Amino acid sequence: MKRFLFLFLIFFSLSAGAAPIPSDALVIRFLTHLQKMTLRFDQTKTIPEIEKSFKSSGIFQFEKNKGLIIKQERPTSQVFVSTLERYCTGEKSDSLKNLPHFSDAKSLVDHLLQGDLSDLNKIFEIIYFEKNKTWQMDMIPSDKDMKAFIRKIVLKGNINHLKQVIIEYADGTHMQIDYSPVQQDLTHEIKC
Amino acid sequence: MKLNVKQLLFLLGLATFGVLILFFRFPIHLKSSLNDLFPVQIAGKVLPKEVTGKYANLLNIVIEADSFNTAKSRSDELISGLKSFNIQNITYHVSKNSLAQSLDYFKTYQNSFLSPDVRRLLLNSDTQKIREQALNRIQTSWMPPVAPLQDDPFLLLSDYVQGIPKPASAWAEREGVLWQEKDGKHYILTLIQFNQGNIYDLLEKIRLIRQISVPKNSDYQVHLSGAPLHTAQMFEKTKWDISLISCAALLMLLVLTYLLFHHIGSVFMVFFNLAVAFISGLWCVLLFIPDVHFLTFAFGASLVGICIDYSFHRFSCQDKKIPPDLFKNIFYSFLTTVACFIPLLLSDLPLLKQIAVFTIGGLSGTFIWILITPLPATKDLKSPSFGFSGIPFKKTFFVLFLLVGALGLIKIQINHSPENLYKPSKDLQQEETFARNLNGNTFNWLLLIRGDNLQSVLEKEEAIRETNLFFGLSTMLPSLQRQKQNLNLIQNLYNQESKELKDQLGLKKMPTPKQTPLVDEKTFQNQFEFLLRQFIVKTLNGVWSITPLTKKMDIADQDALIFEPSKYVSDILDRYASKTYQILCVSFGLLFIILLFVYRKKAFLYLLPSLLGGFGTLGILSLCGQGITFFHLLALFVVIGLSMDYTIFLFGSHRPNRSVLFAFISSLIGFGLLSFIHFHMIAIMGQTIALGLLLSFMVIWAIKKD
Repeated sequence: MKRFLFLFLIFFSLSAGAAPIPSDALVIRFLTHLQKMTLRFDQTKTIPEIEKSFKSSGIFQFEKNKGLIIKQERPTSQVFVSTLERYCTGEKSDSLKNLPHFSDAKSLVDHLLQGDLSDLNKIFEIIYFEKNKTWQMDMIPSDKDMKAFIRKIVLKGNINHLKQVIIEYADGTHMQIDYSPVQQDLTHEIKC
Repeated sequence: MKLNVKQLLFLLGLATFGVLILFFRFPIHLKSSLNDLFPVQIAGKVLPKEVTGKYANLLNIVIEADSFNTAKSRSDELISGLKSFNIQNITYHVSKNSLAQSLDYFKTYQNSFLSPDVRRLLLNSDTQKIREQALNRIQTSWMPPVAPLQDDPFLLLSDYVQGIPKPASAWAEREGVLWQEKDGKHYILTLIQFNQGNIYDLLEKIRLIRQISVPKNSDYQVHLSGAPLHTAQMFEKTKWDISLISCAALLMLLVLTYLLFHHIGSVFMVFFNLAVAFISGLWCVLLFIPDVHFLTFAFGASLVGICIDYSFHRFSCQDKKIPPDLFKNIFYSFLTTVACFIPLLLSDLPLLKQIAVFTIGGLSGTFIWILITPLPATKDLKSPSFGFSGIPFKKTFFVLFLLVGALGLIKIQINHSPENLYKPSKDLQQEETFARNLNGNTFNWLLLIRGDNLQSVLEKEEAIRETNLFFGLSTMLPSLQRQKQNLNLIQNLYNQESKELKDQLGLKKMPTPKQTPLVDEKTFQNQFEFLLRQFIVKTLNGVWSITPLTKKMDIADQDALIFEPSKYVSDILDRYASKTYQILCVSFGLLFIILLFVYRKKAFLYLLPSLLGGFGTLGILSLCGQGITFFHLLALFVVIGLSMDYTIFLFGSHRPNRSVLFAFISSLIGFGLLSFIHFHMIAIMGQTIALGLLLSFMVIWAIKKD
């Protein structure tokens, strides 16, 4: 279940743009207006050494000042919940403070939700553009340790929600996650 | 002052003895740390000082700034500033490894590492579960594997690395420094270990560090904390206090001696006697004990009191030769005091032994000196007698005193909490609170393991880690035995599950275990020298690992010990207090036998002032809200020694010489002054002795017939 921890950190590391991005850019408006989003995700993972690709799907929910829930339904059922202080994966529950670099990640998230992208610029080189009311950010890690694992991250979204995340790993693994809005509330369904 | 032949021979003997002692003992190591007072034991053996001093000799330098970069650059400047001074015998604990370097290390020796859960499954031959877990993670996880999939298709290394317990430290490694962020502030910690050297080296190093640590501008702050600062401050303050108190006590002595004899020559003779006593005590303690603690000398002030008494008694007598009655009284006083200190020699606490040797040596020196010292070359010595007559309410006082003492004894409480024993200065206390807030509960417990070599220490630690989760050296460096076992288990997993995994994942090639070497100490040291330095101490009696823990655990290994520093000191002091109390009872017993032999039916009467004075003191201090400590009990030995002297001289004569009163006043003021010393343990002893003497003297006054 530790894999979800990385997801958690990546998610927050990804949802922003670079310094040259104007303050009225779509992504800034998306971040500053973001209160709650519940999305269905469909994930496809391709690994170089393996001939076939792997698919998984589930529901992702983020709520400002409350936390996030990732409920994977296929191929296996798994849940990751994070409040502002704790995280739960299956039977395990622990304080977020015990995660490495949690304070950095928290500070980054807080700044992002206020439209401040400076923290992110220290980690990524960002290319941002908008087309047909859709924004896209291509993020290339500038941090040496992160470069050893991730080659590039691409985020796509509109004013209301995230539409797609693509992660290209340094070992050639490719991951694509497509998001679509869903009318479902996991808040009371899953506790941590 | 003219010396006779006997005196010259005595001084010559003392000087020769001293030269020999200094020749064999030079350079003299004066211990100063509190740690030296309380030796830690494991399996009945005292831990080497390299082990106990590991954390006691650490100084924390914390840089506080608004951003990591500012804190880092200020920390770098500070360290390079310190290094430019080339301070000898200190070690900087700084990590030089990046995450990438650590991961490369794991990949190079990947077959050496297996997480506890995976090991358990493999030992139970549950290889299928490991395959299923790996399959699930490969298919869905966002977390990139630590090693390429072809090298680690079962994700054994990823599992191991992700499962490494967080080290028991609130400090994370970042860009080669220990860092943490709290409430928007960034902190960087540099640990400096003082490896050797005496107290004066320590003072000089700390002075330099303080000088360099003064912030050059306002964008950062420097916080210094740790045991060496306390040792240095305590020593400096105590040294200053002792100097001041010694001057005041000597001045008081000078005045009292002059008032007693009205003769300046006698003043010199009293001081000469003091010097003889101190030197005799010093030579004796150096003869038997190579590393003397400076507290022994502080306690040696008690000796001064008794030596003064002997001088006063001797010079108050107008005869050139000591009359038999005076000799008898001085001899009995000497005998009873020595008898009181002899049981301390049986104690297993080094300080008690040192004090006993110092006191017995010094007393013997002064006793001999008094016997061979003639009167000053004058006949005008004045020391009239005095009596107790005319003082009202003796019986009322006696009963009142007994009641107060008894009431206090009901309330008596042994209390060795750190606050009751040591009170640091306000600024140092604030810095310690600040450091404790940052460190959390990381240094509450230490796991100590002893082995004949590093491999045996690693094996013992691995056995403990089977059932307890903590970050130890074996997390990074498994024993060779463990590495070979892991290799076999991994080989077995591949034999059992490779084909199935290949089919399920659709791998192009059949997975085979990557060939990796075993990691030995030398190879590990090249990359992680700081970790070896942090965890391992090599001594003459073996190799020790010292691992900080965030929680207490139960261990069964007889070569391992969970050490709780704060509790240990209070536990050990409780034990010492109980032993000292037993010794005190033995001393009273021994004293009673001697008194019985000398004074027959009056033996108990002679013992009563010491007994009531001692226990009454404990009672009154308890009534005043003081928790009784080992040091209170220790002080009672001095009370007994001195009060026996007063008793023997006051009961032994109908109109006693005024010298006894002056001896009492000098000791009372001397020890009373000691109560104002900054070092709390000495202050406790000063209070106890002063009050004990006062009470004993009052008991003598109350029960003596006019």
